[in-house]
Amino acid sequence: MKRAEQWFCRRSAVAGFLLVMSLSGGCTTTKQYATLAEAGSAYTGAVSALADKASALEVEASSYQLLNERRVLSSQYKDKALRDTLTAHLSAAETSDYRAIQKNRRIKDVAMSLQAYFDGLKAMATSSAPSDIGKKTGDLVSKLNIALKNSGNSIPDSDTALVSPALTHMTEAVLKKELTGRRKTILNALSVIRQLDEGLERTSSGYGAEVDRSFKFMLVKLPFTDSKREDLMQLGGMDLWLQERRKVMLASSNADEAKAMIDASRKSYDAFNETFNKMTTGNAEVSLDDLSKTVDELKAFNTFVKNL
Amino acid sequence: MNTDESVANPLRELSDFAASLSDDYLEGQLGKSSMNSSEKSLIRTKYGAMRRDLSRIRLGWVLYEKEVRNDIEVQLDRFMVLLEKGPEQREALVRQFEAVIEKAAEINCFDKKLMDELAQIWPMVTLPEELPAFTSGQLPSPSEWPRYRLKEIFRKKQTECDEFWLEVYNDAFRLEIETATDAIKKKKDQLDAIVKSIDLGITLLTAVNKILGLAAVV
Repeated sequence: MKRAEQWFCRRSAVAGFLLVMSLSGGCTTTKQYATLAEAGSAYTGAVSALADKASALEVEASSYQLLNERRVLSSQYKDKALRDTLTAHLSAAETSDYRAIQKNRRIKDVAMSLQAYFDGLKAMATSSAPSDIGKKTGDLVSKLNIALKNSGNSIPDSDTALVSPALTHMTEAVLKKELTGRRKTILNALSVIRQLDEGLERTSSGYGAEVDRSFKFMLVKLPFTDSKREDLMQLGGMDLWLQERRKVMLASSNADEAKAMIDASRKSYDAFNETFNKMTTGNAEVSLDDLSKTVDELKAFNTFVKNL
Repeated sequence: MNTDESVANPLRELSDFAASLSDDYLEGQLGKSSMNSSEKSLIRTKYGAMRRDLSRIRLGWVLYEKEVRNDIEVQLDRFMVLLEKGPEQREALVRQFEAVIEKAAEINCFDKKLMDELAQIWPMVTLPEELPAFTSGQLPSPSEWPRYRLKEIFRKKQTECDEFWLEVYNDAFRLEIETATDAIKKKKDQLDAIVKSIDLGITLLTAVNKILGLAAVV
């Protein structure tokens, strides 16, 4: 085969490959994958934040329990016996709280491991490398042509224009293969995280209710009904009591916040699960608008948990 | 807190897990891994133990649902009603509390509905001072009303359940998820490396062209 024919065949093969790559990438765009990955990251991030919140509520509830036990035990024990009993209660509460915090940290670690996966997917889907490679390949060919012009050869610029879309579609194909191939594992892993999330919600709901009830009882009712508390009728004590009562009556309770969090969490999980299923089974098209709504919902949940 | 379907049938979730965690799945994961043989052997042992746990839990659930669950639910519901009653139901409430403590200890931690109910009940009993039945001032004694007993039972059961799911994730999914995360990062790094290589090529060719241009002038 002559040199010109070889060059022509090579050119055709390259152009054909690039064209096939451009057409075979699938319907879902990198932007949709990026949005899906962002949604997954937002949900797992919220679970991770929820683990911290659950620990904080658990410790607060345990502090109220200690104070309540101190109040009850003070009428049963005196002096050294009381001190010893209180010390034993404090030590037991510390051990129990420490275990709960450690467990919640492990739940957080699990959520973060799946979040890292979604973050990796998003970084790949939003990478500017495919378009950079396309543009820079064009620059490279121009420079090469300058260097080659004296020898009478040149590389056609027209082929390089296909590099960018072809690489973008290659990225899409990689993302599609990754998500559809690993669909079962991700859904199972998500489902485990959902079980842990439900446990955190249940725990937060219980401890939140205990904190609310204890706060109201110990800081509002007990001082008010204790006729010996003369400080309640003096300026400082009165002001403090008014503040505590205002919190009970006007501020949103921990139990209400926990309920709102549970509702938001369930909706977020369901929305993400449905979107993920649609995108990885190919049974239904997911528009970018629908995806954006899911992401907004998940981000709102994430922000809500972090602001608790 | 839970979808109706998952409340009605936790067994289905557990069965789905058991079905998806086959020996083939594990061997596929280990085949891709760079672990040494003793590490792989340890994973196989843990995986086997987890699958046995799953079978035990599924069998346990069937018996629980058939023979135990209904009575627990009845006792908890009865207690919920009594918690709202006044001093005339004081004795009945104290008696029912004892029955609830006994029954709560029998709750299967995977029973989402009853675990949710327990999470609702225990914060109500830690302050008997606030219950309508005791507002007349006659509080039950600590032995009659161990105020934190239900909380301890709840905490123990919830921990048991959380530990199980943590183990499932760590034994069955962590390896694959982390390997996949590393692979995705590598693919992205490869693309970035291509960009860098082309950048280097352009820099070199610019220098070459400059030299060639100068040579042409000379």
